[in-house]
Amino acid sequence: MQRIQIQYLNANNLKVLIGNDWTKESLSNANTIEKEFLNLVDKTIIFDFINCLTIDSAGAVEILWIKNHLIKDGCKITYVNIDENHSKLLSFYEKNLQDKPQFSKKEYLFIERIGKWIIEGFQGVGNFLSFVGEMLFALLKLIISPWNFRFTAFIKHVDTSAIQAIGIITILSFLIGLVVAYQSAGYLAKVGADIFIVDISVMSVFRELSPIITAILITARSASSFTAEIGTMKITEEIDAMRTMGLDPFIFLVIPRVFALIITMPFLVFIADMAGMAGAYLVSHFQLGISLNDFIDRMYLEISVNELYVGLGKSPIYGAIIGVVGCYRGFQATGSTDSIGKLTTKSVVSALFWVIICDAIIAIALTKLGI
Amino acid sequence: MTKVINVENIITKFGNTLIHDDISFSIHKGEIFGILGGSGAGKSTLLRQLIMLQKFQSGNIQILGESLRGISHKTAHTLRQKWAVLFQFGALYSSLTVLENICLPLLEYTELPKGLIENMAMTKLSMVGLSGESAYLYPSELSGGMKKRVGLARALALDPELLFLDEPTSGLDPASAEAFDKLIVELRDMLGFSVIIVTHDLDTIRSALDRFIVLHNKKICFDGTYDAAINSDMTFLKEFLKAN
Ligand SMILES: Nc1ncnc2c1ncn2[C@@H]1O[C@H](COP(=O)(O)OP(=O)(O)OP(=O)(O)O)[C@@H](O)[C@H]1O
Ligand SMILES: [Mg+2]
Repeated sequence: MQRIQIQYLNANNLKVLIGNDWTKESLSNANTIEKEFLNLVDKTIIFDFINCLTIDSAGAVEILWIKNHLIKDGCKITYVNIDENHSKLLSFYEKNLQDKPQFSKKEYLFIERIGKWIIEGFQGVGNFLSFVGEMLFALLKLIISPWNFRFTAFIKHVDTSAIQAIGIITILSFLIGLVVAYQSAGYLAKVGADIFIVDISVMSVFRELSPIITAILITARSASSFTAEIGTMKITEEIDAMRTMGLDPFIFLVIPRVFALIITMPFLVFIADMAGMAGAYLVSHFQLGISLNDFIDRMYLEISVNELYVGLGKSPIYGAIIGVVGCYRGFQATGSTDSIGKLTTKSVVSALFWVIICDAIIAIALTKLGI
Repeated sequence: MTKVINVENIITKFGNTLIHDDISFSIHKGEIFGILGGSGAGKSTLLRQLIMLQKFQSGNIQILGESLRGISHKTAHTLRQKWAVLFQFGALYSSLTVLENICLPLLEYTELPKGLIENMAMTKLSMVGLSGESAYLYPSELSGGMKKRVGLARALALDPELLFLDEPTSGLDPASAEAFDKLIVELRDMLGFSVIIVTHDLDTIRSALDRFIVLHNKKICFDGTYDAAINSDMTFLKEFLKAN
């Protein structure tokens, strides 16, 4: 059955037969129905509901939309044969009809967008600096009254961020050490410089690979979880609740997390060093036939212990970067839950970015200093 | 009168704790029905069982003629389209605007053209007393009362036959709460759906509910109208209605 049937009574009088059901299920062709009414101007139109059995909200809104459209074009509308319930329903919906407001999203010019981008960049730097400032202030308070340090929280974060990460760090560092040694072994054997595999492994593993692998893993595990935890607390107003109780969220949330990373990073890097060297030794032994004694002797005799210290020394800096960035992104959460997803992504990416920038700066500085 | 919901001998346990011990009641078409009881009496649990979010250990629930025990996925799916739920805090999708929230069920379950869907959504928005200005706001930019109204508008999107409301007036000021009660009654009169409300609000109980049950000590201790409740000689019931 057709939804609608238009009959001309004479040139200016029309009768519109409304079909039997006007519901969500039957109105998928509403656009074509509307089209039939587009060119009717200044007519007298009768809506005949004699066949109409059911009207739901979709049907009512559609009929009213057509009616309003016709009235705007100067037509006169009357209903006939309408049952009382339908008439009540239509007038109820008619009372509530409202137009969608225009969505005014401002289009920016290219130059405006650049300006906006720069200003937002500066604001970002400003926000970050004020975050760091607040954290240093909390640190100062802790130096004055060290008994306020949240030791339990600190231990908890040492456990979740570091101790639980030992397994994966060991496995990955072992594999990386193995791969580096394996890649070099073939070449060194060719030039007859077998024992130099120890030099190469120590150089790359101690100085660069272990700290970076550890930093990457800790970023993936901890920067993301710090952001998600703190962001959720921000949205559920837990942080506001803390502040109103006079509890400093920096002392409760930020400092224990950041310190847990700063303190544990050197240990994790040391573990990574050992695992990496184990991997390298395995390759040296089976590929190049270097014995454990030779391997260790070479390590002790030839290699400056600086390699180890440099790697361990820069790891707390990475820890600080990861912790601070993770917490900072968490504090940026506002309003809705989907901001947390975005912030977690940002937190991981920017923590890694700054870790690697920092690594490059340290590498250049140390070369200049000749270490 | 036809029964839209029939609950028979429901028993609910969490581990070893008994929550509902042999509960039976039924709800008629077009009725505004209340589920009352003290804190922890198991009202929310019962509501969640009615809307198939939670299992019950024994007994049966029939909704719109379908039995929930051993229900097939297909029937469950069609049943879910016939009812709508307003959660306590609105449960709006935070990544969507108000308008998009209301349009979502219509876009998913109907093949109506976009323009008509948006007109419908705007109409529903006005039905719950919100002007068009809020259409492009995100849930985080709304007050608690507005969230509930938008939640109601979204619940009304598919013209449900059953409307479940969990504490709809909690957190609203008395005037807004009264307006909300009136709105529910008005919509029911107009659209003829049945409403199941979990509530603590004495004003709602008095002015909006046609009939209610009171859960107490794991059982239903009262089933009837407000007038019957205040005239009964159960001391617990009197205290309960007074204390609220
Ligand atoms: N997932 C669950 N696991 C264990 N026990 C639960 C669970 N959900 C609810 N309960 C218990 O069931 C009981 C009833 O909970 P319910 O949330 O239904 O109470 P309520 O009547 O809605 O109370 P309120 O008015 O405070 O919302 C409570 O004692 C609660 O501890
Ligand atoms: Mg509850």
